[in-house]
Amino acid sequence: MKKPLVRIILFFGILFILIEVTSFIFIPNKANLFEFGYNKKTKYDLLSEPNNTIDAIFIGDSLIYNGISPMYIWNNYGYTTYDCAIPAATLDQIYDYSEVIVKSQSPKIVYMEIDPAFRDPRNIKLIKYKFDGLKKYVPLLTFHNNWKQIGNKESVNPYKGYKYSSKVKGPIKHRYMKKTNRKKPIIDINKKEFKKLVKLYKDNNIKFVLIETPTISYSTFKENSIKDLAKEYDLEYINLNTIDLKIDWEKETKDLGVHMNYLGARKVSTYMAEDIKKRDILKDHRNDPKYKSWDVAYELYKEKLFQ
Amino acid sequence: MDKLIEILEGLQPEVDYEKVDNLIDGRYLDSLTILSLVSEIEDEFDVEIPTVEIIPENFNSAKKIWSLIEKLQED
Amino acid sequence: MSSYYSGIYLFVLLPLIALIYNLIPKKRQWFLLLANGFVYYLLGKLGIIYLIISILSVYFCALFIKKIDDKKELTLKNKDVDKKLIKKKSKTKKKLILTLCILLNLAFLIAFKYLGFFTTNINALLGLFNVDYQFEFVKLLAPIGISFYTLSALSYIIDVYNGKIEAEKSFVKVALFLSFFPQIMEGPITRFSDTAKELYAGAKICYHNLAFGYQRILYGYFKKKMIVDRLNPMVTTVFNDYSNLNGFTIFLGAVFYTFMLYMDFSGTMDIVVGTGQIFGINVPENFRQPFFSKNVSEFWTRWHITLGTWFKDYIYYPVSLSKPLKKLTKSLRKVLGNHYGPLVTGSVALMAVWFLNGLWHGAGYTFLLFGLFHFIMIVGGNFLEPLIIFICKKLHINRQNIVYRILQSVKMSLFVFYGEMIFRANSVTDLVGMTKGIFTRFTFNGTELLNLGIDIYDYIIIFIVFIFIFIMSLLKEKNIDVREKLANMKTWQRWLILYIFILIILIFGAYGPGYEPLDPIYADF
Repeated sequence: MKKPLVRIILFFGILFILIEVTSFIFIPNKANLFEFGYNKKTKYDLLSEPNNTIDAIFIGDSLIYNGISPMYIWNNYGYTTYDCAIPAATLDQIYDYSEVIVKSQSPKIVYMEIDPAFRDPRNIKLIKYKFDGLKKYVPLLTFHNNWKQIGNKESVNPYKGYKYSSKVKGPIKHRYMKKTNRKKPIIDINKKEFKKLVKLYKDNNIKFVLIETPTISYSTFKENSIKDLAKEYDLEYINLNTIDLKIDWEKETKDLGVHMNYLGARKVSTYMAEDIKKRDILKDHRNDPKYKSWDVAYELYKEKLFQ
Repeated sequence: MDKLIEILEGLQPEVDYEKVDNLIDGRYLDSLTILSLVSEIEDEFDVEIPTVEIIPENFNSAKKIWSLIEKLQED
Repeated sequence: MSSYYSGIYLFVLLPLIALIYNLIPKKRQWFLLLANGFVYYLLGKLGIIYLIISILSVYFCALFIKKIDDKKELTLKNKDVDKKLIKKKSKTKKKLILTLCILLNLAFLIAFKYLGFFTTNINALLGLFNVDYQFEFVKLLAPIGISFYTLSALSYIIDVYNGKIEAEKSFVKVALFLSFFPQIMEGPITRFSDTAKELYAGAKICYHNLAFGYQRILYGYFKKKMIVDRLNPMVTTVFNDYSNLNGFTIFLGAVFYTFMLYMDFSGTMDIVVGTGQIFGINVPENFRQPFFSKNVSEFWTRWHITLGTWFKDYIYYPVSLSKPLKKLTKSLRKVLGNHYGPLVTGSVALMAVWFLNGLWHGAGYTFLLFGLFHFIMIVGGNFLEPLIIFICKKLHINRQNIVYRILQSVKMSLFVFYGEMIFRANSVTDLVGMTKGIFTRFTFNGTELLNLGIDIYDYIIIFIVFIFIFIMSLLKEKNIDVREKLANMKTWQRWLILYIFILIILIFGAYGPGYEPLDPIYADF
């Protein structure tokens, strides 16, 4: 029994080293590797973007990475945006990510998906997502598709945090945002965490806006308490569930209406880009030679979409 | 036995029935030939081959077919 | 955990199960396997109820049949009885139980798979005759794997009835046989004699089995990650938006779908067989290099083998050798000769087989058409066979010639591609549209091919993997055992090959941002 066990451990030990070495080759933007360290570098894929190049950020959970496509915004508006999203994110995770954002980038505006405010970080059910998070320690799993860019000097990250999905599965029940006066309470840990978050962005002079992207799982029950929260900190709050984006829920959502597929994401992205445009704080970088890598990334991104 | 080989050669002449022991698994006899074979054997040897017996193990070689016939004749 | 391909299943759960399996005493090991099957099935919500009912029904019916047999034997010993009458009586009883058992199991299958299809059609028919009544549309979500284990269950009870196997006294053995966890979702459709003994026996997992099993699993994973998830967007686009596409693109879509289906299904089977091997259980193979077949008929003895043999054993021969058809064969042989005589009766049985085969895959006109297509191809092939032999003789063509064999396989593959196109088409209208497209605007457009959701790099990978799979199949066809060779290498050589193989999957696999894993195709049937 002993000998086989040694063999198995040895086999996987060597394999692990090989994978990590290969991973290193595929990590984009190695420039900031020493600044942030290997751990953060692999955990937060925003760090694959050169410092101070992202002008607007969407932070949140799966609603963000399914709902907003930065490349779509780039192609149509020329803004450089990024999805800093963690599946089933909790507010403490968002805070940690935010610290990385303010250190590496200088965005003019950060939009935060507010649904995580209702997620209890102590909830045992989140363990599945924590487990998925382990993937980040093997950067090869995230960046391996960069092999297609052999020949390019610097490998790029064509999705900018967005997770493409072409699945189609409409919702069963269509009534949502039903009128109610009740408020879903926000737990104390999250209130504290939120306060820290607001302060962090304020200290760094970054405009901080709360958003709720379209999802069938949203309710007025939640909306009521977010309105209070926004008032308390004097923040803007945009609920896209109460705005008619002309989303065809049958065809443009991927899992019973909880998340958008790429068709729905286009509509949400368009709305967000228009919102940025209205504020007139960002530049269109499309003809700026400094942002040429975005055109390269778009070419890679485009091939995935049949348009 | 000779009679059986004669029948088999009449149905599918390209096989050496003394040697081949994978008539079914090697696809020498397809299912249509089996249908002919069954009805010919039943006529010739006055037996009735039940469907249950139509399995590769019983038909893979001339020898095996012969022992099946013998078994059925005894019954 | 929606499929056997999920990383959590393969790299966390499976090793854990294997570890626990090794720690418990040999006599109790079956319990873990059984529990696993049930837990796995529980994830499919209520499916477990039907599985349990199915197991109970075949278990008790089989025992009942055995009891009737035993009683018959006992009475036959008594010399003063009418032997024929007793035999007949017991046979009628046995038949009754068999029929009830089959009906019960089929009832579930029909309720889950076909009710929706039937109501739609009956309603359409009622509308046609201006009957002002519509049945309520019911479509139940079928429990995973029901089509697979129902056939296994039926084979058990029928074999017991026919006296081919003895009814099993141990309930555990029957339950294990029908619910072995890797097999639940996509088969293979095993017979009781295939796996039941090994499943119950238990054995310590040895290093050799573990390594071989996992290597096999890795091969399946390779197929899935390199081909299936990569081709899916292209295939989906072609089958959904064919009307704007060139004929060549549609044709390539059908070819790629066939390749993808082959890789998906055989890859899953690699994982199932590999998992079996870890526990020392020989799960029967479901594929034997199908694309080297001479004709469509042979193809189906090498593709989804366990389904094909099931239909052959339980439909084809019982129908074609039934008394009336046997008589027909006899008289027709005298008139039409040894080839065309049985062909007529064979065709009747074949029609039943392919009708049921189509239906088994799902309720829908495309599936029925899929069956009909194969029926026509096989009967047509048999019908023309003497003519082809005759022509070849006249032209002095050697049919064993390598060029002739390659041409045969190419022709066969074209038929198969079309068959799978019928299979995948969204509707019969779409099928007609696609067929028209292939034949009326067969032009090649390179840029169009790059706009289907896969890029030039993906095509390169697909091509390389295709060559690789082809070579592996060719070696297997020539009886060269690559795995044995690998096992005989020095450790460092073998490890090097495995490392390269794993890194290739990790780097070039179609996963991560921009790719979506596809749920195993056959799990829907």
